[in-house]
Amino acid sequence: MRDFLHHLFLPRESNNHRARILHHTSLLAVIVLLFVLEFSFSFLHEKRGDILGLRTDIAVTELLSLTNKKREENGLPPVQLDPVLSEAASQKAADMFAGNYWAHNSPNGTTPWVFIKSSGYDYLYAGENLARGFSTSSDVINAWMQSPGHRENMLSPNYKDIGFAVVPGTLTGDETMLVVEMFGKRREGASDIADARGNDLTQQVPQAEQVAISKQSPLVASFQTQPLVDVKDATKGISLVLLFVFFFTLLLDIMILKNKKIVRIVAHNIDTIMFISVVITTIILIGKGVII
Amino acid sequence: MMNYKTKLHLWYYSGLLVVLISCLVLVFQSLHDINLIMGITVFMSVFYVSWAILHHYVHHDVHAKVVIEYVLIGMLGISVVYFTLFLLK
Repeated sequence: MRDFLHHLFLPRESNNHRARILHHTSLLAVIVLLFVLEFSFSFLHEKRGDILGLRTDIAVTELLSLTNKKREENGLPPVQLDPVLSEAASQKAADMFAGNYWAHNSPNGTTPWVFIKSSGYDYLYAGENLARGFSTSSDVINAWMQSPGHRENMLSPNYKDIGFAVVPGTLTGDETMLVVEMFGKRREGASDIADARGNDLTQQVPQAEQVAISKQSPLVASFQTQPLVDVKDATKGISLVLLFVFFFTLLLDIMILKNKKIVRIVAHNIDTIMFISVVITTIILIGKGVII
Repeated sequence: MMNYKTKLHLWYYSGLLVVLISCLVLVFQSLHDINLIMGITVFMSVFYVSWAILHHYVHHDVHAKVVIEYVLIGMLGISVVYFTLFLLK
């Protein structure tokens, strides 16, 4: 066993002075293994989400308190949870699942403001933030706070009310957890001004514009799933272990062969170590969800 | 006194480092855009492979075996990032 591990990870005569794991066949085997794992995970995730799924714990109360905490930290008054805006958010989520789209405007051109208006919220200002694939309320809020456009919505002094919808479903072919956040300020006799993330969304809402709304748009207060294994942790963990194995194997290769006069036709270790380090950092940084 | 070959190595590694760090900064600025991260990773891998081959070419030691090794490492980088991202939508 020990001999095999040495053969796999250390340069020596048996592996032609290059760790076996760095040989072409081994590299190809690892790539193929990743695709096999990907297929297996995808299958297991679809069939047995209770074993391998997305661990989710998102609650509207937490989203609200975190939003208000961020506002308070920035010297802004808190926003109030408005059931009408929550209904609008819920309708928007239902429409996204029904129309299978991931955007502020639906493929047929329906804007977020239509849902707000049709819910009965007559707004002076309105805005919308969307998120999907996140595990916790704080991850959602932190992601929005890191994005300038979403942050602008979160910290706008124009808004008084807020509404949320947290809805699981299948969107563009992927099972996901959708979070819709809608902001607003009720009209008090002023003109229509819509304000939202993204310039294309800043527009007036015609009073006559209507939208077909799903009758089933339940207001979800929170959503929790506790699979045996969290798929995000699993994929991230496997990727990092794999990359660190390559990183340290290359490092050992440099150290062991430093003073040996062995001529090898192989790739330079330093640039590969640099590349792998950046890929490792990328994987550490990413992987919480998507916002628009 | 640094010789010409060492200088070339230094230029090569500095260039690679600058591009890789720039890609990392871009990733950091688009943490929640999976498609963009995937695009940056593909660019980074293609650049790494091309730059590495160029480096060997300058030093007159390009071999098919070396090129294949770089291509496989580049593919590994893309595969690992894709594997981490594919269920995060």
